Amino acid sequence: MNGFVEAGYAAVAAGLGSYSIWLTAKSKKLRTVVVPVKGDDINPRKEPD
Amino acid sequence: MSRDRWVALIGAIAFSTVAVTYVMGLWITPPDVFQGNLVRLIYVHPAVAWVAYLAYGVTSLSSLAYLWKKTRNYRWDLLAAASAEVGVVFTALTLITGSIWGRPTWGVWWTWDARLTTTALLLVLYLGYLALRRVSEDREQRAKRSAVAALIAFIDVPIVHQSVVWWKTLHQSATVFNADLNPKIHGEMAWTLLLGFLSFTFVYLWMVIKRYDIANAQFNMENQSVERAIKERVGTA
Amino acid sequence: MFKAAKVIALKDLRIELRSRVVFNQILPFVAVILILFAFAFDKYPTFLERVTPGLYWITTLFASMLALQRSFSLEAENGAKDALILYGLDPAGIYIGKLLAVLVEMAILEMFLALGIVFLYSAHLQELPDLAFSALVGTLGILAVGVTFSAMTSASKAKETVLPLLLLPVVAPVLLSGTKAWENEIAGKAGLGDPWVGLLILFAVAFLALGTLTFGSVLEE
Repeated sequence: MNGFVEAGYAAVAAGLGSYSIWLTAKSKKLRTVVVPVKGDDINPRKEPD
Repeated sequence: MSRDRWVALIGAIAFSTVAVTYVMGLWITPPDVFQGNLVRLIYVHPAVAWVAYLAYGVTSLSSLAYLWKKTRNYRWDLLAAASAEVGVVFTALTLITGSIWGRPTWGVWWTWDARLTTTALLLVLYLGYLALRRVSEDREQRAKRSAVAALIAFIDVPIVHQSVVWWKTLHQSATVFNADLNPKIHGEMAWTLLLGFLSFTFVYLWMVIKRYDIANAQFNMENQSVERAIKERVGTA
Repeated sequence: MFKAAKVIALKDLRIELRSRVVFNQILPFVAVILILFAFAFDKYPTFLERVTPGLYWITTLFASMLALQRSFSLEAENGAKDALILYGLDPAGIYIGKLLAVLVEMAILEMFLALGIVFLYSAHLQELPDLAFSALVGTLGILAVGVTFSAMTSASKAKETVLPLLLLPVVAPVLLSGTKAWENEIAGKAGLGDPWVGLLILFAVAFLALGTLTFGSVLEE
């Protein structure tokens, strides 16, 4: 083709790709930290601070 | 199906439709009579721009929902923020792909065309919105203030656009998009174009849900640490 | 609402009369900008004359930003803003009062600015009433958004950087319309029926309405 088309497609792929990777990494990290609280928490959870 | 599964499904649909759009756009569709291979950018650039506008629309609506007392809920604020951030990503990509398209078409990377100028201002407007979100400490205060800022941006966009259109028509006639907007589109070109819009909308959906979940998890984490601090002082009684 | 506005506006103007911050600091700032522009465009004396409307509006924009920051740094000291809320003043009244006080200060500043461009850039400001009207409406528009944004950012540590980032893109149409309106008026091409003046009015009205309606949400802690 002519270089410009590839550059355009690559730019979109790179931009959306890196943002998605950041999103996935961040949500994985948060999932390991946050323990969802279900109802009243009678027994205090043991978790490292 | 659990919520996580749904989100994963949306992500999978987004990824695979974008992949199909890429294959169709880059190899299957024919080159255009006037623009040659350059026309292939039409499967990406307008779709990305559409998502940027969609994202800011969602930000405006959810900001309005937050400010209205009957529907006030912190979730609206989180949604507005998530959508604005995704919108900024898509706006930046709109500018980049537009510029890449512009170089061979008009001979320059940038021209003060009404659409380009409005899009550029849109990017800085919402960068300002995101910057404002970072400076407020108190959660409720931040939500209210950023909702007002989002409304200001929303009202501003048509005024910006109108002023830029007049500005340009007084200088030179806009010849920029004429050639691009009426190519004879039919058959697989039309399908690819449609698929492009759909696929990037799915990408938007997935990203907003993900970003919203992250913000929500951070919100819960702050709440938990407050609860824990209270328990440590008061005891579990 | 108007009673509260009057109280706030008079309070701010009285503070200004005593402290003279706008007069002693922002006015010299305007003068410096006028001189700096002359340095920047030194090679093209006729060019300076032609771009005078643009320079006027850019200077106005920067000066308004300083005036707005000054206006809200008054309230940041000793929790004065909290006191305003505790007095039970109507938020819309506070908004209009703040706006009026800065508008009066800016109108005086802009008179000096106009004198400056006449003397230093040899601008010909014959259509003075038209020019003054569009300047006033444009400034009102800038300040209508500006008061809201400075109230939002005044308490934060990053106020000096966040306010310009928020305000400048939003008021871009005012800069554009104001410059165009002035160009047309100086050229004697259009009077108040100029669509650019219409855009300035629309901008001011839209953001006055929004600011009045939402200032309660902005102030509440």
